[in-house]
Amino acid sequence: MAGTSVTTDRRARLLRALAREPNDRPPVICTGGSMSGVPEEVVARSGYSLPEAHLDAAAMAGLALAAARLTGFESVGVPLCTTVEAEVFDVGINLGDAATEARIVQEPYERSADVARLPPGQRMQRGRVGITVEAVRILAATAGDLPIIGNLIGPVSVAASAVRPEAFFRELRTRPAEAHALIEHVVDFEAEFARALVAAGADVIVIHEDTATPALVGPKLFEQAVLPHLHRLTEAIKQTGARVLLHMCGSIERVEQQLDTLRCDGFIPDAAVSVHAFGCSHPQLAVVGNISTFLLHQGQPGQIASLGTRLAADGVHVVSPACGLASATPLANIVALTHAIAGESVP
Amino acid sequence: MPETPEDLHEALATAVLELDEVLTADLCNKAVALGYDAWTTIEQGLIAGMNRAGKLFDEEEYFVPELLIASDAMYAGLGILRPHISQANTIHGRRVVIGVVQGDTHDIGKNLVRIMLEVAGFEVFDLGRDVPAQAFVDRAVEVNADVIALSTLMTTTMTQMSKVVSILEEGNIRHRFKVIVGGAPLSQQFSDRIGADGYAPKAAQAVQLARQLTGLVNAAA
Repeated sequence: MAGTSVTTDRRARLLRALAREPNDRPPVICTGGSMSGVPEEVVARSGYSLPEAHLDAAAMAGLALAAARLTGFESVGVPLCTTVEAEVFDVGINLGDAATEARIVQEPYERSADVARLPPGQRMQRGRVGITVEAVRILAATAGDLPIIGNLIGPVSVAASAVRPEAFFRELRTRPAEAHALIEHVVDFEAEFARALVAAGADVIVIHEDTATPALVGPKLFEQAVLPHLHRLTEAIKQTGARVLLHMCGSIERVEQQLDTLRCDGFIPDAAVSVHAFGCSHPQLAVVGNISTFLLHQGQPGQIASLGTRLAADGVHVVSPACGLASATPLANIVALTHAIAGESVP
Repeated sequence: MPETPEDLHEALATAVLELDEVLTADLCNKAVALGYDAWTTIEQGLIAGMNRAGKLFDEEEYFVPELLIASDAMYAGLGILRPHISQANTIHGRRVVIGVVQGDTHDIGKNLVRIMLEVAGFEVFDLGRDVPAQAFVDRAVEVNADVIALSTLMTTTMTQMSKVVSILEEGNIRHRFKVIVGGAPLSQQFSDRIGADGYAPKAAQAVQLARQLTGLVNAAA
């Protein structure tokens, strides 16, 4: 794959795709974060291990890079989990292992107002924020033409893990001012985190608003309580010059038009969303997606390759899994996808 | 304030539906003071209101925050009325073991299903979240459950569900339990594929499914 001409530079191809400029073909990527491309088989062959790679910048970068090499995904992304921001807000984390993802085990607060307000700079010193930023810096020096993706969990989802989620979603209705103040506080930190990731070399920031989705809070509350904060965060990231992508799980049908108000370059929809229809109604957004991760795990390489080819024909700008990969996903299935898109035969 | 038990039940159902915990508690206290039958008040008032909220949830008029606040109102009312239940009620005694599968700690959906199952008279054993497959089976055997209900929000942990089915099959006890699955990334096809007995996309439909599978209503109804 490595080459010097413009068409084979993987960073340039992704940036063209996100700008919806003509491309030789769509790139095929896996963002990291909630869509971490490190199933067990990849970890086993990488020379790195989990959870250790969550805790060490060189190992995090090394595993991300090894994963790209093994899978053929044309991007490297960190962190390799969804728990970095939560940990910064005192959430109890189980870092898991190669078979089971890192996950939240204890949300510390019952009320939004109970969460301490620390300056963003102070939060940046906590948990694995520094490790993640350093991993990007290492990738910037080692990943060659692979585009680097920094991943953030959406601010409302982070707030809904600092405060016990049920309590938080009640407060969005019963004490909206307190809930909003907490989300604002999360956005302040995440904007700082994003600036550090971009300064370290991230080309793209992906926001994974994985809990506070329209399907969960409803279109009205989404518009009042989620969208304005996403707006402020995307605005802050755009100012750094990086590209911004948004991923939300579930149906987005009733909020689709609202998404247009965000300053995103692209959107990664759920596997159930028709990318063709989505692309037609949002010509200003790059459509990234949306390979069913269930198919990636359970399907046959041939089926996966044809879905990838069909999505490319349907006009996705970038091919990517639609959501998180199961740890038991066979490497051969991922390779079938990346080779189908890159137009290479599977060795 | 309502004049008859029927009026009060209706007002109570409306209070739960409209997420008014204070009014719900007031009306329950009034029912106690007036000597209205506590069980009927629970059934015709609180549960009727919660079922209406559940229906709006299924119709995507209400979402998770609304359903949670409605259940707060219902439980506040239950706390007032429960000590006044006089006779043994016609509880059907069906048992459900429920939990979020290992690797996932998103439990809002599971909690909503638990609430709606309790409303429908099921005895629910909630194993919480991040529950290993074996733990579902052990608990189901221990309490002689009718149904094992598995929840996950994440695509990464869906396969834990087939593990539960496999453990049941390996132990030759698959026939003793109905396995139902739910969660945002799931589908009927997924349920069929892993050999579960049913899938429901929404909380109230999960209750209907559990009722059908345990013979409380016939499947065609």
